[in-house]
Amino acid sequence: MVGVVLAVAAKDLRQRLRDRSALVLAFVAPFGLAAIISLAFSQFAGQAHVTLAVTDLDGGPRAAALLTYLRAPELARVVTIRPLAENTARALAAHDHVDAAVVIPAGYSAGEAPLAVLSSPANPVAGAVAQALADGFSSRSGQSNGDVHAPAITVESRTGHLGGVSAASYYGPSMAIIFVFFTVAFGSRSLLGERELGTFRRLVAAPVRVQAVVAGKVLATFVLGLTSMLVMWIAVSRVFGATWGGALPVVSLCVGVVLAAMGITSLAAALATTEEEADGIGAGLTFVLALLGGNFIQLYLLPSAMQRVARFTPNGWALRAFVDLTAGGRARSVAPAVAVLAAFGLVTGGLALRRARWAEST
Amino acid sequence: MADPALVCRDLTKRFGDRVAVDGLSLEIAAGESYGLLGPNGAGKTTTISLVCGLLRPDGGEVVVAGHRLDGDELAAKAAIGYVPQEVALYPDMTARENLRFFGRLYGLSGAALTSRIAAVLEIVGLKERADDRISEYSGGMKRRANISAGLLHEPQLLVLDEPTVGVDPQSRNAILESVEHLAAGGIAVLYASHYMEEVERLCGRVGILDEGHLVAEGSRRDLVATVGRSGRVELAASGPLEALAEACRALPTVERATVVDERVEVVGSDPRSLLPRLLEVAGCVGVSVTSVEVVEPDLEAVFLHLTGKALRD
Repeated sequence: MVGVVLAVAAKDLRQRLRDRSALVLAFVAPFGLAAIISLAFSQFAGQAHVTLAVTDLDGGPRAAALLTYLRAPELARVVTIRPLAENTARALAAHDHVDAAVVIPAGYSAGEAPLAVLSSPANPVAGAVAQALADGFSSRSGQSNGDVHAPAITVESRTGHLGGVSAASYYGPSMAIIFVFFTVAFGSRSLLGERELGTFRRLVAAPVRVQAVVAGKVLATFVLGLTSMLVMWIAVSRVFGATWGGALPVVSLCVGVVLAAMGITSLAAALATTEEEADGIGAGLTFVLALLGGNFIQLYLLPSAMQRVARFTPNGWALRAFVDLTAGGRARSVAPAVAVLAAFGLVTGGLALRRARWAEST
Repeated sequence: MADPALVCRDLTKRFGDRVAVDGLSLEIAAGESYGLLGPNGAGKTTTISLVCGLLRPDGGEVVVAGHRLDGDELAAKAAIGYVPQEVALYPDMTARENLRFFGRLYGLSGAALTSRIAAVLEIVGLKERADDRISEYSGGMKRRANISAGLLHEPQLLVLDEPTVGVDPQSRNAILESVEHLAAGGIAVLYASHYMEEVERLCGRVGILDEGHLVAEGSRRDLVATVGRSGRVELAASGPLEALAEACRALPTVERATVVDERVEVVGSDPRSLLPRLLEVAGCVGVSVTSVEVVEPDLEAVFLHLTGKALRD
């Protein structure tokens, strides 16, 4: 029995490792996507810097006070001021060469004209910063009518930094979760593949139990799925310095995720009659779970109703647990998530086994 | 005395309302080559699936080398070398890797497995290409590799299901030579085919299967004797062929006359003496005969005689 299990597992792993598309899905794609998404969000993470074009058409004392306000040392880490002519400022802002522009119109000091804030379409956050600074100055100068001190501000993006978790620390496990579904789907539908290839007849004709063949396939799938997640963990940690948490809880969570993915993709395969059909059902299910579970849009940015929906997906459970771990949660805190993930796997895997067509037809 | 390689008793298999195998009984002695002859859809593959434990019968039993399939399944399966109709190998693995994997399923390992792999590759003539992937093989080579996987564990009964379908003549001959070689070595063979010549060449005993029934069984000579002096005359001709067939059927010694493609096939006793009358009838109905072939009784004639159908139907 054990010999057969190991033989089937070794054969399946050999086939998977020879399949470049499987390797891309297991190792390259999740890391690449996590890197791209993390880098995309990292420009807003922590203290972002805004280059602000300023055009002074007024030249009065209130305009001078605004310029002093914007050049205050407290803002120097966040804002760089570039005095420019109005046309130039508008053109640069329109073409994204500056992040935003503030135009001080003639008559501003006399209270005859309001400030104009131009934001770059590519950087709405910078536009919001510029507007906030302008509003802040207006309200303070209106109250004090004298020397106005700039506040010590930092520009933080919620999408870049949530609950103390960096983009890489969120999207690393997030992408690993999505792609582990694709990775293990290879194994889950391999019995269908064997059937289409004709090798299933030879396997069933051999003096082995079908259960041993299935166990071998489960072992190979589990090893590949877990390896994919662990490699992703190590790679994201090393390259981006992202922290997923302690080794024991991370490995436990990865095991839970792989089990859940195996169960769900096995059920998709059991519902299908061909490998292509299983592929389609599995991919559809993977994307729906990823969307609902917060793999693409961070959980904490989702409306509360969607956050509740995420609780019904293994992805949502896993991501919350990873976020908790990264934010300093203890190993014990991920235990419920691991249990729920394992339950997802066992229930859906059990349904798949019940539904699987073991009988051979002529 | 050795147990028979295979005993089937009253084997029955239904798919819904259709009875695919109906009370089939047969016995193959150790070392005997047995041909299961029948057209497509006769129930050959279903019978083989029942024998190899791929399907559970609705009735009857299978005993392989003394092991009942429904009681001692693994031992029974271990005694069978199964060669499926389609090539059942992993195309992304080499022949050697495939054989190593399937050998392990039969409990082989280490030096014994390596030695058996070399032996079966030699038998099927693939030693030089053993480390090429199956996907790089020609159709005939794939078929030969397919057979080799059924031989690894030196089975007592080799079951081949239409192993030459879609194979070029050269590879077909190589496959038949391999099977002859194995049969001469003492292995029992169950060879299912709708190719009469293959069964005649390889098998000492033949079972004729039609619509799930074993309609006749015996040596080639015994079966042909059941046809008596009946033989076949094939007339390649142009003109009203149906009219010719009908006119032939009216002749007293003609058993059957049918139009097949551009020919009229006439089955009757003493075909050589029948020929002049057939040509005379052809002239009367306005058919122009372009060639004539007289075929002495063979298994094709036996099948036609027993079922009223041609094997290729």
